[in-house]
Amino acid sequence: MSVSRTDSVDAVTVRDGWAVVSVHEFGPWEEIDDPVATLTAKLWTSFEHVATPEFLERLHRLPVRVELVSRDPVPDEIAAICRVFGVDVVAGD
Amino acid sequence: MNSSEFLRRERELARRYGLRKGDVLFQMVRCTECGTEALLRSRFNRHEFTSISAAETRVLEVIQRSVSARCGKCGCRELDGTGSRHVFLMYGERVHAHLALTLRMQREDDGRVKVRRQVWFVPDDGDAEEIEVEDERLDAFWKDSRIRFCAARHEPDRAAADLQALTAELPDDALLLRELGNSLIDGGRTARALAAFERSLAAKPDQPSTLRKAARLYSGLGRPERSMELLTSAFALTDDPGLLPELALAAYRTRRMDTLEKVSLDLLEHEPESLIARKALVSTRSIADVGAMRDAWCDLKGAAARAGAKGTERVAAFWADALSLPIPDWADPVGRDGYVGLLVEELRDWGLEVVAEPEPLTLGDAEIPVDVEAVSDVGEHVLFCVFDQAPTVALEQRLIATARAAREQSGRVVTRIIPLCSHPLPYSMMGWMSGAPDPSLLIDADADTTMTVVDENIAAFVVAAERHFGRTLEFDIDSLAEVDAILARLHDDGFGEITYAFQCQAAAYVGAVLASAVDGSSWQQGDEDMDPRIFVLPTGEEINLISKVGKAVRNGNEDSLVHFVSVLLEHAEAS
Repeated sequence: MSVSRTDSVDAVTVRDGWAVVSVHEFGPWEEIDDPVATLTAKLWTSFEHVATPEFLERLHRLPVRVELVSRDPVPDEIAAICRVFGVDVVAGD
Repeated sequence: MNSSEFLRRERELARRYGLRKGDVLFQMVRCTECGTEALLRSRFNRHEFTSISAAETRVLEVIQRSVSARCGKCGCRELDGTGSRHVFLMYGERVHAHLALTLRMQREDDGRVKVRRQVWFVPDDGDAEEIEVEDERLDAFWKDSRIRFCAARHEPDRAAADLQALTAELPDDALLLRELGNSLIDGGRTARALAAFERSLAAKPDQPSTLRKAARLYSGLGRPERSMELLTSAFALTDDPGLLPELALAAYRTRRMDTLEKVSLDLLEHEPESLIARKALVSTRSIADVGAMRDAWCDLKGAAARAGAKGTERVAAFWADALSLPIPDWADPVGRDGYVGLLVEELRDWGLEVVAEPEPLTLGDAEIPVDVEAVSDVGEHVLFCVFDQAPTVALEQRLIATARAAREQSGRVVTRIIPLCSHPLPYSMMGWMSGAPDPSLLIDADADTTMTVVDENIAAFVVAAERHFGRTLEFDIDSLAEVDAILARLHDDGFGEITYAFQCQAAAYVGAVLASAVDGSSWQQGDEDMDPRIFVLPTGEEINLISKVGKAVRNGNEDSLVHFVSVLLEHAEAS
């Protein structure tokens, strides 16, 4: 689980009747090369997953949201990307 | 017209209109009664020419056959095939020229016929040049002839096998690879066809028709980016306005808004009533400029009404009406909360009662937030959901769930629900919210998506086909044409989408038809790279029927189920 693993989906859960696709980052953002591009790639992978038969088979009737769970506070440029893609941010202090 | 004049005419036709006449004999026949001469045209189908002498032999065989035609002047049925002159034409695509073999017949006093043969190289953009039978440029014509011969087989699989074998001899031949791709498409081998087209384009990039075919395949495979690249290249080569609708769809699918707007406006110049252009244009508008967005929807509504596209008209009518409410422009730098505040003010100023903190919609355990609820004096409840984000597939799933929740509320009046987004939303996403009959049917559809118990899926689809689409399904192969018609309606010029549940319903029905045609076929668990449940024939052939239905909606006739199933059955019979 990491933003850097751009070709895989971190987690899909059902919470309060929503299908939640979450992206997790447990490390410091400064250690990620080009964090904006990396997160964007990771998010595209997550969005593509939402359109797959594998996802839809189980969750096609549920509203979907995508969230970024970050151990550290997210840098401004990361927050901006999340706003553009409608991604909820759950970040540590 | 003598031979030189004839060749000049053919060259002019090739140059001006791109007309290319391959393997055609223009034969002058003579009436034995009145001596009138007339021109007959014979085409050599599936014949490989390997030399001038072989071509001449074949032509002379035709000339000496009896002619089953009547003299146009005296009505006599006895026509002599050995008229004064004959021209055999082949086209060499790789040299952009016709090869002309002219035979001039002269009758001797003793009744014998003397033949004078000439060979001409007729380039598309130059004068005809008489050449020798050993001219090295002739090799190009024999190569093309060989490829045409292999490609002309009626069975696509055999044609593809012959052409594939030929690639050992001509490994990077662009024209051969293109024809191989065409045969593979006919045989339903999409992935291999694409590989052949890509190799062909690598060898010769300037092939507009191959670029277009490959683009369609990529589009069908859900790779609009590559499709867009190829179509852009094809358009740069030809400036053909016929490419604009496909280009607009590719730009729509890749969300390239600048390109989408430009292509749509270009398309409207050529086709002022184009629904594709109008749907593309509404997909470029947002509530940053509500007036422009409303105008685009009104234009679409008018064009759809004139075209008799009732489904599109209903969607457009919903949005034209919704945007006539007092909705403010979303101007930067106002944020989401600021915009919601502006909206509330405008609605109140207009005399609507605005609910301070509207209850969320509920769908199962989920609560879906509503930003504003406005009630008119006639009791109409309008719910607004406000988004400040780019459209994503997650947002689309959320909107579908929101529309379903609004339809399933009990004890609460929801007249309509209007999503407002700072970014342009695609036409298909807007369609879900419109309450038009087709989107509503798709939103309401439910299914066993694990395809474990498919009977209810099949029954639901048959009922929907009968009641909603007016089509009776009889579980035979012919009924797949009815399914194609239903999916074509949902295709909606390429802007259509389908819910997964309805996709499963339709796939279950197609599976039932296949199962009745092929004993021993069944639904089984799919591998990782396939649908979760796949349809398996006794031959072991595995079919992603669920995805296939989705593709048929996205691509329309290109992915017809009738064609797909007939190819499958041919394969099953052959093995």
